[in-house]
Amino acid sequence: MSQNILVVAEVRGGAVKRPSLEAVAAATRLAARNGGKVIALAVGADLDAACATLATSGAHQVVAAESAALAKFSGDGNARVVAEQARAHGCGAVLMAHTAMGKDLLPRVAALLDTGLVSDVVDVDFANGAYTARKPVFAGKAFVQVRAARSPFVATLRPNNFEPVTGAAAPVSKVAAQAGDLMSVVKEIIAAASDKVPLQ
Amino acid sequence: MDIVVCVKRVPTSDTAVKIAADGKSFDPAGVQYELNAYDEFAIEQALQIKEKLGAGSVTVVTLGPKDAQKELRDALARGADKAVLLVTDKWVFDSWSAATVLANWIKTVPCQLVLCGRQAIDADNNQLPPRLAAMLGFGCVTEVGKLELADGVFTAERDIEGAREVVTCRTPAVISCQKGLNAPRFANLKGIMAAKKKPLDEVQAAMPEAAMVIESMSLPPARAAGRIVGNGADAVPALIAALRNEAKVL
Repeated sequence: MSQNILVVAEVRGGAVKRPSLEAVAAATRLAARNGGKVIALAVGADLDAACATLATSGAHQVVAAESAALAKFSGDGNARVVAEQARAHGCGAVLMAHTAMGKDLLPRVAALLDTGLVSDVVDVDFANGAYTARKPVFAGKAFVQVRAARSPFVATLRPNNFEPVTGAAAPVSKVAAQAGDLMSVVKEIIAAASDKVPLQ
Repeated sequence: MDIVVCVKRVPTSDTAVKIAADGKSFDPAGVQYELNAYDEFAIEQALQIKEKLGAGSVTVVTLGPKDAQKELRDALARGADKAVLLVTDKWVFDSWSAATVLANWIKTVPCQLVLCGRQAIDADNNQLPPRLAAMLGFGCVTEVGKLELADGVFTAERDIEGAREVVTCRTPAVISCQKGLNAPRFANLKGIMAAKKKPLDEVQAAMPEAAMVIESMSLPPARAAGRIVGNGADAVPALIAALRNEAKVL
């Protein structure tokens, strides 16, 4: 099994969200331990600016899976594309930030790949041929250390927990994504009425 | 519309977690249990949809120990028609195996809508609803704070970082319910009496081996004592520097 690591980037308004860059950084750490390559994946439309950001985020390769139908996020549509890319690149791990989108998307990807998922991860490692992760349970009153017994390893990573890195410019490739028949689609994003500053 | 509500019996939210002797689970001694708080919104939403449509059924299902009968009876007392207990003695942590058992069961019953709480407050995995959707081939919206149904299509609103998202979703669907979606009703005496006669089936669950194996459970390190960086406006730069460079929260 290849040890390539797929990192799913969250792109909103054409820009990559910072927690996605943190996930790439965590992936590079794992890749250094198991010799895999980090592939950053952006899904949707108008991805050039996002890919330019991802190219210097430490990833070895950037893939833009383009689909006009996925210009707005669709949980089922995006999940099919991510699972397809994970298979195409023979990935041993799939990572994403533990954000509203990550929590919605990655469990579906894990289900399509018939594997486990560990969520809200605060530390991740690869040792003795297995991925391990640490996550809070009981609202942070305890932590569990888990080992992945199925492959690929799928995890959502807690934001503000891994420091982004800068890497040499990675090659960017584009593929046409097959969105399929979409059951759920984002229709609109309403700016929050609150003037609170998002912490991510 | 035939609705299945997935619920979980969890330790009460004020439980002081202690680690069991095996170092891999929590010590159940003295722990009180309750219906997972987010699941109450799912039950209420199911009842409201059934009442609005004037037809259909609400079946509550859980994967858990025999003692979870109590939480299921509570759901029946609130107005659910039927309950099913998929029996397993182990604490359910791994979402892959839980979803496998639940999806296999849901496939055996009429179901156009699955409602769940956004997450169970014990394992905090936050992944079962979208998992079920992918396994059943259903649409899905997670962490829904407002939900409307018209002509077989849901329009849902959910909070995302710094904004609110409006999502449309066809049926059949899985919807995970967030706090604020509705105001859960309490069971009244009539409901409690009626619940005693409603069907509550028990089926032994065939739990597969976990995909995520717990190697250890530990308590967080004790919090260090606080530090006063200074007084008044003059201390603000030092506080910001400490938050940015030491705590790394800015």
